[in-house]
Amino acid sequence: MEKDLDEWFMSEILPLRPALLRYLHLRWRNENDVPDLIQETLTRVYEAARSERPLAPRPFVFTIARNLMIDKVRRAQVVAIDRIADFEWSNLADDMPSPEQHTAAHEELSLLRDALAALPHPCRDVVELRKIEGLSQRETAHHLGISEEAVEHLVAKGVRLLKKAVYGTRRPLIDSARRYIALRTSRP
Amino acid sequence: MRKSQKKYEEDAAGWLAREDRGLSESERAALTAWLDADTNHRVAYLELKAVWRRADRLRALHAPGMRPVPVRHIQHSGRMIWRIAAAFLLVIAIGVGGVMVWHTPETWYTTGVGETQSIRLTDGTGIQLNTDTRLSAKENGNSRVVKLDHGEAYFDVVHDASHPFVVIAGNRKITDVGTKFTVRKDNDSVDVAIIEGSVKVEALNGAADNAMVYGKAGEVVVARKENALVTGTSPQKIENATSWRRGQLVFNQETLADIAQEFNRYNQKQMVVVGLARDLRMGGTFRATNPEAFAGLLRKGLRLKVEETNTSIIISN
Repeated sequence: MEKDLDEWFMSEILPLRPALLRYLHLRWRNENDVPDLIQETLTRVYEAARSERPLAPRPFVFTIARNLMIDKVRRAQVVAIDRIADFEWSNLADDMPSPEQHTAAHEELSLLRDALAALPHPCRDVVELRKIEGLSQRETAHHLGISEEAVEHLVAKGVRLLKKAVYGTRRPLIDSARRYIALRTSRP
Repeated sequence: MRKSQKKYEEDAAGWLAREDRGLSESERAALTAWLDADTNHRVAYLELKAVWRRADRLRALHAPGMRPVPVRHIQHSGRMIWRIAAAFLLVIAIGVGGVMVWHTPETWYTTGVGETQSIRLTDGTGIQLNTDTRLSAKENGNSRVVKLDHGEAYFDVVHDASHPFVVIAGNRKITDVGTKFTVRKDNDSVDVAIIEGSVKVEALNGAADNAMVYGKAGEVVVARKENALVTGTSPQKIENATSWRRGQLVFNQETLADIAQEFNRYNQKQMVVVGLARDLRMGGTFRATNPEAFAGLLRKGLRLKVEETNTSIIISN
């Protein structure tokens, strides 16, 4: 039962992460809060889905994200005025990001190759041997002349770095979005 | 990321790595308990699991036959090392999965500026690529063929009379007769420095006889267009010319202009020497990927004017 939910979560919810990231960056003033907002959103999504799995994941996730932001603003004892200024309440309901295009296989390969190339060396060798050459952790250890513990440690490090590289922060998109908002709000 | 989030991710990564290795029954139970304890644990774990699974797609880069092995990486700066399976690779997406179709087992290797890469072929031959180099390795019937598109490489060939080892660089074909040698190709010049054994260097289309030469240990065959010249040289000079293998450049009474040009092969930041400083001669051993340090020495030791921007180092007097 739980296993089905996990699979659903990985295939239906996690791919929405980049869109969720953009959505939060546009609406929440403090950039530093965004990673936590994502985690909290995802956690709430999982728990809510436990009792009833939504038919449409997208609106479900974005509604939860919106409610989370509202909760945060309400709970804050002192609300910074600039936080409110950017927070266009009326827009929340309608302003959904455009649907994610289904990533073509070769684009996905390209993305992963870039992520792999960005890994620092001992880590990268391990990931290459595990994923490209298909060696087991033990075979990898033997091949590189390091201990199996070291390989395990490098897999842990590698997967975290891959996640960071694959999700990134998409700065150019965010900066242009901010400029767009600044332009919109500055008009008389 | 908040401290607790970082902890969740660290723990989750640890679990994922353990699962990747293989879990015992008791470990599996411990993982389940950890996941059930807090949804934050589970979400962190599932996120990493999803990425690790996506990385399975990298299998598409596997090259059967000549398996490249990351033996040792001597220097790194800026861009990382690419292993590119070129035009022979077709990825046909069918729904969620991908299907690989190979045409030929020719595998390309490329290094970026300032990078080196060592590979070992299945026959035991070692190849070390220098900065900004692109070459391919292929088993072609009876021969082992390497094509050097541009750059420089050191070859340590396992001799096999029945499977000759051939390097094709520009319009030259270099046949190994059991040895260690380097081949460097820039535009239309090809230099072959022989460290051990001997090589035959001939024109690719086998036409003119005058273009076939044999070089032996301690010699450098210098080929430009249709001409090839064998120059004797000292073991020290060959040592110096292959010092890049240890990440170093060795110069002996060379002009600053030439030195800068050599440094520029290894670095994104380009050195430019202006005016009379170009003719200054000097020698020494320097780290190939640290032009800033070299420039620093020029400033302090020779009182030259050194200006640095994001992309260049300008030296003048």
